[in-house]
Amino acid sequence: MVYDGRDVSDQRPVQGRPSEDAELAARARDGDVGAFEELVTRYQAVAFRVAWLVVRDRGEAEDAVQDAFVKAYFALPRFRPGAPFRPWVLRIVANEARNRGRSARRREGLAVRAAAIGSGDAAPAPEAAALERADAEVLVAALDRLPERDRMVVAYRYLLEMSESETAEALDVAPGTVKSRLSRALVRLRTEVASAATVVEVESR
Amino acid sequence: MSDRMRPPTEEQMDAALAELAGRVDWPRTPDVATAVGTTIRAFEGSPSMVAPRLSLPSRRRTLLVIAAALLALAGAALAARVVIELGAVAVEVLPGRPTALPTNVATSADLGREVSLDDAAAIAGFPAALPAALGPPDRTWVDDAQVGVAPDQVVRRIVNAWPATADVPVLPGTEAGAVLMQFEGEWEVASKELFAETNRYGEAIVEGRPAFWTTGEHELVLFAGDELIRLLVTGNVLIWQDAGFTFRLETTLGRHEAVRIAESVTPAIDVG
Repeated sequence: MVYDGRDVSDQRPVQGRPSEDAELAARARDGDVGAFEELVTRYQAVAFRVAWLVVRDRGEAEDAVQDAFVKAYFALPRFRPGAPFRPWVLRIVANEARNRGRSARRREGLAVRAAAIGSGDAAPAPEAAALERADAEVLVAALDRLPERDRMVVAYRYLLEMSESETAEALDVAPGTVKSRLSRALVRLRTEVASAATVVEVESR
Repeated sequence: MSDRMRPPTEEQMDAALAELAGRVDWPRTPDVATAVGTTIRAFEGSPSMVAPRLSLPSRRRTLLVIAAALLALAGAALAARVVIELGAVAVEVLPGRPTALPTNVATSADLGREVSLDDAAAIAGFPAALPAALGPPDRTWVDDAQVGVAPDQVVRRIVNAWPATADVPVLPGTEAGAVLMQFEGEWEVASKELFAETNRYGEAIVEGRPAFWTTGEHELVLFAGDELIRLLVTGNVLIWQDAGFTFRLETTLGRHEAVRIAESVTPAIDVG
Protein backbone atom coordinates (compact mmCIF):
# COMPACT_ATOMS: atom_id res chain seq x y z
CA MET A 1 0.00 0.00 0.00
CA VAL A 2 1.12 3.50 -0.70
CA TYR A 3 0.11 5.31 2.40
CA ASP A 4 2.49 6.92 4.80
CA GLY A 5 1.58 4.80 7.81
CA ARG A 6 -0.08 7.57 9.78
CA ASP A 7 -3.06 6.65 11.89
CA VAL A 8 -5.78 9.11 11.00
CA SER A 9 -8.51 7.48 13.05
CA ASP A 10 -9.07 10.54 15.14
CA GLN A 11 -9.27 12.98 12.31
CA ARG A 12 -12.57 14.75 12.29
CA PRO A 13 -15.12 15.42 11.19
CA VAL A 14 -16.74 12.05 10.81
CA GLN A 15 -19.93 14.08 10.46
CA GLY A 16 -20.32 15.81 7.15
CA ARG A 17 -20.16 19.47 6.29
CA PRO A 18 -22.62 19.32 3.44
CA SER A 19 -22.07 22.67 1.80
CA GLU A 20 -18.31 22.27 1.75
CA ASP A 21 -18.66 18.68 0.62
CA ALA A 22 -20.82 19.78 -2.28
CA GLU A 23 -18.29 22.40 -3.29
CA LEU A 24 -15.39 19.96 -3.05
CA ALA A 25 -17.33 17.31 -4.97
CA ALA A 26 -18.15 19.84 -7.70
CA ARG A 27 -14.50 20.84 -7.97
CA ALA A 28 -13.46 17.19 -8.04
CA ARG A 29 -15.97 16.47 -10.77
CA ASP A 30 -14.32 19.23 -12.77
CA GLY A 31 -10.99 17.45 -12.42
CA ASP A 32 -9.56 18.95 -9.21
CA VAL A 33 -7.92 15.85 -7.69
CA GLY A 34 -6.75 17.91 -4.72
CA ALA A 35 -10.35 18.68 -3.82
CA PHE A 36 -11.13 15.01 -3.95
CA GLU A 37 -8.14 14.22 -1.75
CA GLU A 38 -9.64 16.57 0.80
CA LEU A 39 -12.89 14.63 0.71
CA VAL A 40 -10.91 11.42 1.15
CA THR A 41 -9.12 12.89 4.16
CA ARG A 42 -12.46 13.83 5.67
CA TYR A 43 -14.14 10.50 5.25
CA GLN A 44 -11.41 7.89 5.20
CA ALA A 45 -11.79 7.13 8.91
CA VAL A 46 -15.50 6.35 8.71
CA ALA A 47 -14.96 4.65 5.35
CA PHE A 48 -12.27 2.42 6.82
CA ARG A 49 -14.55 1.47 9.69
CA VAL A 50 -17.37 0.61 7.33
CA ALA A 51 -15.04 -1.53 5.22
CA TRP A 52 -13.57 -3.18 8.26
CA LEU A 53 -17.02 -3.97 9.65
CA VAL A 54 -17.71 -5.85 6.42
CA VAL A 55 -14.44 -7.70 5.84
CA ARG A 56 -13.00 -7.78 9.41
CA ASP A 57 -9.49 -7.70 8.03
CA ARG A 58 -7.39 -4.56 8.17
CA GLY A 59 -5.47 -5.19 4.97
CA GLU A 60 -8.56 -6.00 2.96
CA ALA A 61 -10.39 -3.03 4.46
CA GLU A 62 -7.57 -0.71 3.53
CA ASP A 63 -7.46 -1.97 -0.06
CA ALA A 64 -11.23 -1.73 -0.28
CA VAL A 65 -11.25 1.87 0.93
CA GLN A 66 -8.53 2.94 -1.45
CA ASP A 67 -10.14 1.29 -4.46
CA ALA A 68 -13.57 2.54 -3.48
CA PHE A 69 -12.42 6.15 -3.34
CA VAL A 70 -10.77 5.83 -6.74
CA LYS A 71 -13.98 4.38 -8.14
CA ALA A 72 -15.99 7.12 -6.46
CA TYR A 73 -13.86 9.78 -8.15
CA PHE A 74 -14.55 8.33 -11.58
CA ALA A 75 -18.21 7.91 -10.67
CA LEU A 76 -18.59 11.59 -9.72
CA PRO A 77 -20.37 12.42 -12.99
CA ARG A 78 -23.16 10.16 -11.71
CA PHE A 79 -23.21 11.81 -8.27
CA ARG A 80 -26.29 14.00 -7.92
CA PRO A 81 -25.21 17.61 -7.18
CA GLY A 82 -26.42 18.66 -3.76
CA ALA A 83 -26.83 15.12 -2.49
CA PRO A 84 -24.93 14.23 0.68
CA PHE A 85 -21.49 12.94 -0.23
CA ARG A 86 -20.76 10.83 2.83
CA PRO A 87 -23.49 8.16 2.51
CA TRP A 88 -22.95 8.04 -1.23
CA VAL A 89 -19.28 7.23 -0.87
CA LEU A 90 -19.91 4.86 2.04
CA ARG A 91 -22.22 2.83 -0.16
CA ILE A 92 -19.41 2.46 -2.70
CA VAL A 93 -17.02 1.52 0.10
CA ALA A 94 -19.39 -1.10 1.52
CA ASN A 95 -19.92 -2.61 -1.93
CA GLU A 96 -16.21 -2.76 -2.58
CA ALA A 97 -15.62 -4.35 0.82
CA ARG A 98 -18.36 -6.87 0.26
CA ASN A 99 -16.77 -7.83 -3.05
CA ARG A 100 -13.58 -8.58 -1.19
CA GLY A 101 -15.10 -10.25 1.82
CA ARG A 102 -14.68 -13.74 0.53
CA SER A 103 -10.94 -13.47 0.19
CA ALA A 104 -10.31 -12.09 3.66
CA ARG A 105 -7.62 -14.15 5.33
CA ARG A 106 -9.01 -13.89 8.84
CA ARG A 107 -11.87 -12.22 10.60
CA GLU A 108 -11.01 -9.82 13.37
CA GLY A 109 -13.53 -9.17 16.10
CA LEU A 110 -14.76 -5.92 17.53
CA ALA A 111 -12.83 -4.94 20.66
CA VAL A 112 -13.73 -2.67 23.53
CA ARG A 113 -11.48 -0.17 25.22
CA ALA A 114 -11.38 0.07 28.98
CA ALA A 115 -13.54 2.95 30.18
CA ALA A 116 -11.57 6.07 30.93
CA ILE A 117 -10.93 6.22 34.64
CA GLY A 118 -11.61 9.74 35.73
CA SER A 119 -10.56 11.39 38.94
CA GLY A 120 -12.59 12.58 41.87
CA ASP A 121 -15.95 11.42 43.18
CA ALA A 122 -17.37 10.53 39.75
CA ALA A 123 -14.68 7.96 39.01
CA PRO A 124 -16.13 4.44 38.99
CA ALA A 125 -14.75 1.92 41.39
CA PRO A 126 -12.41 -0.57 39.68
CA GLU A 127 -14.98 -3.34 40.24
CA ALA A 128 -17.70 -1.27 38.56
CA ALA A 129 -15.39 -0.43 35.66
CA ALA A 130 -14.59 -4.11 35.20
CA LEU A 131 -18.29 -4.96 35.20
CA GLU A 132 -19.02 -2.26 32.64
CA ARG A 133 -16.27 -3.62 30.46
CA ALA A 134 -17.62 -7.15 30.77
CA ASP A 135 -21.08 -5.91 29.76
CA ALA A 136 -19.64 -4.11 26.77
CA GLU A 137 -17.72 -7.22 25.74
CA VAL A 138 -20.87 -9.32 25.95
CA LEU A 139 -22.60 -6.75 23.78
CA VAL A 140 -19.91 -6.63 21.07
CA ALA A 141 -19.70 -10.43 21.04
CA ALA A 142 -23.46 -10.57 20.52
CA LEU A 143 -23.19 -7.93 17.80
CA ASP A 144 -20.50 -10.00 16.10
CA ARG A 145 -22.82 -12.98 15.96
CA LEU A 146 -25.56 -11.12 14.09
CA PRO A 147 -25.94 -11.71 10.36
CA GLU A 148 -24.19 -9.05 8.29
CA ARG A 149 -27.40 -7.24 7.34
CA ASP A 150 -28.38 -6.82 10.97
CA ARG A 151 -24.88 -6.06 12.16
CA MET A 152 -24.38 -3.33 9.60
CA VAL A 153 -27.61 -1.50 10.32
CA VAL A 154 -26.86 -1.51 14.06
CA ALA A 155 -23.27 -0.44 13.42
CA TYR A 156 -24.26 2.38 11.08
CA ARG A 157 -26.89 3.75 13.44
CA TYR A 158 -25.09 3.34 16.75
CA LEU A 159 -21.36 2.78 16.33
CA LEU A 160 -20.89 5.16 13.41
CA GLU A 161 -23.72 7.42 14.62
CA MET A 162 -25.25 7.85 11.19
CA SER A 163 -28.73 9.27 10.80
CA GLU A 164 -31.58 7.17 9.53
CA SER A 165 -31.52 8.83 6.11
CA GLU A 166 -27.74 8.48 5.84
CA THR A 167 -28.00 4.83 6.80
CA ALA A 168 -30.68 4.31 4.17
CA GLU A 169 -28.51 5.95 1.52
CA ALA A 170 -25.41 4.02 2.57
CA LEU A 171 -27.26 0.71 2.57
CA ASP A 172 -29.13 1.63 -0.61
CA VAL A 173 -32.50 0.90 0.96
CA ALA A 174 -35.59 2.95 1.77
CA PRO A 175 -35.68 4.75 5.14
CA GLY A 176 -38.60 2.53 6.14
CA THR A 177 -36.43 -0.51 5.53
CA VAL A 178 -33.79 0.88 7.88
CA LYS A 179 -36.46 1.20 10.57
CA SER A 180 -37.77 -2.33 10.16
CA ARG A 181 -34.35 -3.89 9.73
CA LEU A 182 -33.02 -2.08 12.80
CA SER A 183 -36.02 -3.11 14.83
CA ARG A 184 -35.52 -6.78 13.92
CA ALA A 185 -31.78 -6.53 14.50
CA LEU A 186 -32.29 -5.10 17.97
CA VAL A 187 -34.69 -7.87 18.91
CA ARG A 188 -32.09 -10.41 17.81
CA LEU A 189 -29.38 -8.55 19.63
CA ARG A 190 -31.36 -8.44 22.86
CA THR A 191 -31.90 -12.18 22.63
CA GLU A 192 -28.22 -12.78 21.90
CA VAL A 193 -27.18 -10.64 24.85
CA ALA A 194 -29.57 -12.44 27.20
CA SER A 195 -28.27 -15.77 25.96
CA ALA A 196 -24.63 -14.77 26.37
CA ALA A 197 -25.31 -13.27 29.79
CA THR A 198 -26.93 -16.52 30.86
CA VAL A 199 -23.81 -18.44 29.92
CA VAL A 200 -21.65 -16.03 31.91
CA GLU A 201 -24.02 -16.31 34.86
CA VAL A 202 -24.02 -20.11 34.81
CA GLU A 203 -20.25 -20.31 34.38
CA SER A 204 -19.66 -17.98 37.31
CA ARG A 205 -21.72 -20.06 39.75
CA MET B 1 -36.12 -23.89 36.19
CA SER B 2 -34.60 -22.14 33.21
CA ASP B 3 -31.25 -20.42 33.50
CA ARG B 4 -32.15 -18.11 30.64
CA MET B 5 -32.07 -14.47 31.60
CA ARG B 6 -34.66 -11.99 30.48
CA PRO B 7 -33.45 -9.95 27.48
CA PRO B 8 -32.60 -6.33 28.20
CA THR B 9 -35.37 -3.87 27.48
CA GLU B 10 -35.33 -1.75 24.35
CA GLU B 11 -34.33 1.27 26.39
CA GLN B 12 -31.49 -0.61 28.06
CA MET B 13 -30.23 -1.87 24.72
CA ASP B 14 -30.47 1.59 23.20
CA ALA B 15 -28.46 3.07 26.07
CA ALA B 16 -25.89 0.27 26.00
CA LEU B 17 -25.28 0.68 22.28
CA ALA B 18 -25.02 4.44 22.59
CA GLU B 19 -22.46 3.94 25.34
CA LEU B 20 -20.61 1.36 23.27
CA ALA B 21 -20.09 3.79 20.39
CA GLY B 22 -17.46 5.64 22.39
CA ARG B 23 -15.73 2.51 23.57
CA VAL B 24 -15.14 0.46 20.44
CA ASP B 25 -11.45 -0.04 19.90
CA TRP B 26 -11.36 0.45 16.14
CA PRO B 27 -8.30 -0.64 14.18
CA ARG B 28 -6.12 2.29 13.24
CA THR B 29 -7.16 4.05 10.08
CA PRO B 30 -4.46 4.33 7.43
CA ASP B 31 -4.12 7.56 5.51
CA VAL B 32 -5.05 6.62 1.96
CA ALA B 33 -5.68 10.13 0.63
CA THR B 34 -2.27 10.44 -1.03
CA ALA B 35 -2.45 6.98 -2.55
CA VAL B 36 -5.95 7.68 -3.89
CA GLY B 37 -4.79 10.95 -5.45
CA THR B 38 -1.74 9.29 -6.97
CA THR B 39 -3.83 6.52 -8.48
CA ILE B 40 -6.36 8.95 -9.94
CA ARG B 41 -3.63 11.09 -11.48
CA ALA B 42 -2.01 8.00 -12.97
CA PHE B 43 -5.24 7.02 -14.65
CA GLU B 44 -5.97 10.50 -15.84
CA GLY B 45 -2.47 10.92 -17.18
CA SER B 46 -2.59 7.66 -19.10
CA PRO B 47 -5.81 7.42 -21.02
CA SER B 48 -4.79 4.14 -22.55
CA MET B 49 -3.92 2.58 -19.22
CA VAL B 50 -6.05 -0.40 -18.38
CA ALA B 51 -8.04 0.15 -15.23
CA PRO B 52 -7.48 -2.24 -12.34
CA ARG B 53 -9.72 -5.23 -12.43
CA LEU B 54 -12.29 -5.81 -9.82
CA SER B 55 -11.29 -8.00 -6.97
CA LEU B 56 -12.57 -11.31 -8.15
CA PRO B 57 -11.78 -14.20 -5.87
CA SER B 58 -9.54 -15.53 -8.58
CA ARG B 59 -7.41 -12.44 -8.61
CA ARG B 60 -4.32 -14.55 -8.10
CA ARG B 61 -5.36 -16.86 -10.83
CA THR B 62 -3.16 -18.81 -13.15
CA LEU B 63 -3.96 -18.70 -16.81
CA LEU B 64 -4.30 -22.16 -18.18
CA VAL B 65 -5.73 -23.34 -21.42
CA ILE B 66 -8.66 -25.65 -20.98
CA ALA B 67 -6.91 -28.72 -22.27
CA ALA B 68 -4.02 -28.30 -19.88
CA ALA B 69 -6.34 -27.62 -17.00
CA LEU B 70 -8.42 -30.66 -17.71
CA LEU B 71 -5.28 -32.71 -17.93
CA ALA B 72 -4.37 -31.47 -14.46
CA LEU B 73 -7.86 -32.31 -13.22
CA ALA B 74 -7.45 -35.82 -14.49
CA GLY B 75 -4.56 -36.29 -12.09
CA ALA B 76 -5.17 -38.75 -9.30
CA ALA B 77 -4.72 -36.27 -6.47
CA LEU B 78 -6.20 -32.83 -6.90
CA ALA B 79 -4.15 -31.17 -4.22
CA ALA B 80 -4.19 -27.59 -5.40
CA ARG B 81 -6.78 -25.37 -6.92
CA VAL B 82 -6.96 -24.96 -10.65
CA VAL B 83 -8.36 -21.97 -12.43
CA ILE B 84 -9.61 -22.04 -15.96
CA GLU B 85 -10.29 -18.79 -17.73
CA LEU B 86 -12.77 -18.90 -20.52
CA GLY B 87 -13.42 -15.36 -21.68
CA ALA B 88 -15.72 -13.62 -19.26
CA VAL B 89 -16.06 -16.64 -17.01
CA ALA B 90 -13.42 -18.04 -14.67
CA VAL B 91 -13.84 -21.50 -13.25
CA GLU B 92 -12.05 -22.38 -10.08
CA VAL B 93 -11.76 -26.01 -9.12
CA LEU B 94 -10.93 -26.78 -5.52
CA PRO B 95 -10.19 -30.02 -3.75
CA GLY B 96 -12.73 -31.52 -1.36
CA ARG B 97 -16.33 -30.45 -1.04
CA PRO B 98 -17.91 -27.05 -0.34
CA THR B 99 -18.51 -26.12 3.27
CA ALA B 100 -21.40 -23.88 2.24
CA LEU B 101 -23.25 -22.96 -0.90
CA PRO B 102 -25.53 -20.00 -1.49
CA THR B 103 -29.16 -20.93 -1.11
CA ASN B 104 -30.62 -18.56 -3.64
CA VAL B 105 -30.94 -19.49 -7.27
CA ALA B 106 -31.04 -16.66 -9.79
CA THR B 107 -34.19 -14.58 -9.69
CA SER B 108 -35.24 -12.03 -12.26
CA ALA B 109 -33.89 -9.26 -10.04
CA ASP B 110 -30.44 -10.86 -10.07
CA LEU B 111 -30.35 -11.03 -13.83
CA GLY B 112 -30.73 -7.30 -14.46
CA ARG B 113 -33.38 -5.25 -16.14
CA GLU B 114 -36.09 -7.25 -17.84
CA VAL B 115 -36.65 -5.95 -21.34
CA SER B 116 -37.73 -7.04 -24.80
CA LEU B 117 -35.21 -8.63 -27.13
CA ASP B 118 -35.09 -5.46 -29.23
CA ASP B 119 -34.56 -3.27 -26.21
CA ALA B 120 -31.84 -5.60 -24.96
CA ALA B 121 -29.98 -5.18 -28.24
CA ALA B 122 -30.39 -1.41 -28.13
CA ILE B 123 -29.19 -1.16 -24.54
CA ALA B 124 -26.35 -3.66 -24.82
CA GLY B 125 -25.18 -2.45 -28.19
CA PHE B 126 -25.26 -5.93 -29.70
CA PRO B 127 -28.05 -8.36 -30.57
CA ALA B 128 -28.77 -11.39 -28.46
CA ALA B 129 -27.41 -14.55 -30.00
CA LEU B 130 -30.20 -17.11 -29.94
CA PRO B 131 -30.10 -20.90 -30.30
CA ALA B 132 -32.49 -21.98 -33.01
CA ALA B 133 -32.92 -25.29 -31.19
CA LEU B 134 -34.80 -23.51 -28.40
CA GLY B 135 -36.91 -21.10 -30.41
CA PRO B 136 -37.66 -17.59 -29.15
CA PRO B 137 -36.99 -16.93 -25.45
CA ASP B 138 -39.85 -15.93 -23.19
CA ARG B 139 -37.83 -13.61 -20.95
CA THR B 140 -34.83 -11.35 -21.56
CA TRP B 141 -32.69 -9.29 -19.21
CA VAL B 142 -29.87 -6.88 -19.78
CA ASP B 143 -27.27 -5.75 -17.26
CA ASP B 144 -23.70 -4.56 -17.07
CA ALA B 145 -20.72 -5.02 -14.81
CA GLN B 146 -18.33 -2.25 -13.92
CA VAL B 147 -14.91 -3.70 -14.73
CA GLY B 148 -12.79 -0.61 -14.30
CA VAL B 149 -12.87 2.67 -12.51
CA ALA B 150 -13.79 4.77 -15.52
CA PRO B 151 -17.54 5.16 -16.13
CA ASP B 152 -17.36 3.64 -19.59
CA GLN B 153 -15.52 0.52 -18.49
CA VAL B 154 -18.50 -1.75 -18.35
CA VAL B 155 -19.19 -5.18 -19.75
CA ARG B 156 -22.72 -5.74 -20.93
CA ARG B 157 -24.63 -8.95 -20.59
CA ILE B 158 -27.81 -10.27 -22.11
CA VAL B 159 -29.59 -13.16 -20.45
CA ASN B 160 -32.37 -15.11 -22.13
CA ALA B 161 -34.59 -17.75 -20.55
CA TRP B 162 -36.81 -20.36 -22.09
CA PRO B 163 -39.73 -22.04 -20.38
CA ALA B 164 -39.45 -25.65 -19.32
CA THR B 165 -40.88 -28.18 -21.78
CA ALA B 166 -40.94 -31.94 -22.03
CA ASP B 167 -37.68 -31.76 -24.00
CA VAL B 168 -36.06 -29.13 -21.81
CA PRO B 169 -37.04 -29.97 -18.21
CA VAL B 170 -37.27 -27.34 -15.53
CA LEU B 171 -34.12 -26.21 -13.75
CA PRO B 172 -34.60 -27.00 -10.06
CA GLY B 173 -35.62 -23.94 -8.08
CA THR B 174 -36.56 -21.95 -11.18
CA GLU B 175 -39.38 -21.78 -13.69
CA ALA B 176 -37.06 -21.94 -16.67
CA GLY B 177 -35.87 -24.88 -18.70
CA ALA B 178 -32.85 -23.13 -20.16
CA VAL B 179 -30.93 -19.95 -19.40
CA LEU B 180 -28.35 -18.52 -21.77
CA MET B 181 -26.01 -15.76 -20.60
CA GLN B 182 -24.11 -13.83 -23.24
CA PHE B 183 -21.18 -11.77 -22.02
CA GLU B 184 -19.48 -9.18 -24.15
CA GLY B 185 -15.71 -9.26 -24.51
CA GLU B 186 -12.97 -10.85 -22.45
CA TRP B 187 -13.31 -9.16 -19.07
CA GLU B 188 -13.82 -11.61 -16.28
CA VAL B 189 -17.27 -10.80 -14.95
CA ALA B 190 -18.39 -14.15 -13.62
CA SER B 191 -16.70 -16.91 -11.72
CA LYS B 192 -17.74 -20.29 -10.53
CA GLU B 193 -16.34 -22.47 -7.84
CA LEU B 194 -16.36 -26.22 -8.34
CA PHE B 195 -15.28 -28.91 -5.92
CA ALA B 196 -13.55 -32.09 -6.87
CA GLU B 197 -15.78 -34.28 -4.72
CA THR B 198 -19.16 -32.85 -5.66
CA ASN B 199 -18.88 -31.62 -9.22
CA ARG B 200 -18.11 -33.26 -12.53
CA TYR B 201 -16.36 -31.29 -15.22
CA GLY B 202 -14.81 -31.89 -18.52
CA GLU B 203 -14.14 -30.67 -21.98
CA ALA B 204 -16.71 -30.21 -24.67
CA ILE B 205 -16.32 -29.10 -28.26
CA VAL B 206 -18.59 -26.43 -29.69
CA GLU B 207 -18.11 -25.69 -33.39
CA GLY B 208 -14.67 -27.26 -33.22
CA ARG B 209 -13.53 -25.11 -30.33
CA PRO B 210 -12.87 -26.27 -26.78
CA ALA B 211 -15.60 -25.52 -24.29
CA PHE B 212 -16.14 -26.30 -20.63
CA TRP B 213 -18.80 -28.57 -19.22
CA THR B 214 -19.83 -29.11 -15.62
CA THR B 215 -22.55 -30.78 -13.62
CA GLY B 216 -23.49 -30.68 -9.95
CA GLU B 217 -24.63 -27.86 -7.70
CA HIS B 218 -22.12 -25.07 -7.38
CA GLU B 219 -21.76 -21.37 -6.78
CA LEU B 220 -21.81 -18.76 -9.51
CA VAL B 221 -20.48 -15.32 -8.65
CA LEU B 222 -21.83 -12.73 -11.01
CA PHE B 223 -20.89 -9.09 -11.33
CA ALA B 224 -23.86 -6.78 -11.53
CA GLY B 225 -23.02 -3.11 -11.65
CA ASP B 226 -20.23 -2.90 -9.11
CA GLU B 227 -21.65 -5.59 -6.89
CA LEU B 228 -21.12 -9.31 -6.60
CA ILE B 229 -24.09 -11.64 -6.60
CA ARG B 230 -23.65 -15.18 -5.35
CA LEU B 231 -26.04 -17.71 -6.79
CA LEU B 232 -26.67 -21.40 -6.46
CA VAL B 233 -26.47 -23.18 -9.80
CA THR B 234 -28.68 -26.26 -9.94
CA GLY B 235 -28.32 -27.22 -13.60
CA ASN B 236 -25.62 -28.46 -15.95
CA VAL B 237 -23.54 -25.75 -17.54
CA LEU B 238 -21.79 -25.40 -20.86
CA ILE B 239 -19.44 -22.46 -21.39
CA TRP B 240 -18.01 -21.53 -24.76
CA GLN B 241 -16.74 -18.55 -26.70
CA ASP B 242 -17.73 -17.28 -30.10
CA ALA B 243 -17.15 -14.06 -32.02
CA GLY B 244 -15.93 -12.05 -29.06
CA PHE B 245 -18.63 -13.25 -26.68
CA THR B 246 -18.64 -15.76 -23.87
CA PHE B 247 -21.75 -17.89 -23.57
CA ARG B 248 -23.00 -19.79 -20.56
CA LEU B 249 -25.89 -22.18 -21.11
CA GLU B 250 -27.60 -23.78 -18.13
CA THR B 251 -30.05 -26.67 -18.57
CA THR B 252 -30.72 -30.04 -17.02
CA LEU B 253 -29.74 -31.71 -20.28
CA GLY B 254 -26.68 -33.82 -20.91
CA ARG B 255 -23.54 -32.63 -22.62
CA HIS B 256 -24.46 -33.85 -26.06
CA GLU B 257 -27.83 -32.04 -26.02
CA ALA B 258 -26.30 -28.90 -24.58
CA VAL B 259 -23.68 -28.82 -27.33
CA ARG B 260 -26.39 -29.32 -29.92
CA ILE B 261 -28.20 -26.24 -28.55
CA ALA B 262 -24.96 -24.28 -28.43
CA GLU B 263 -24.18 -25.11 -32.01
CA SER B 264 -27.60 -23.89 -33.10
CA VAL B 265 -26.85 -20.37 -31.87
CA THR B 266 -27.06 -17.92 -34.71
CA PRO B 267 -23.67 -16.34 -35.32
CA ALA B 268 -23.07 -13.37 -33.09
CA ILE B 269 -21.61 -10.13 -34.35
CA ASP B 270 -17.91 -10.06 -33.71
CA VAL B 271 -17.10 -7.44 -31.09
CA GLY B 272 -13.48 -8.47 -30.77
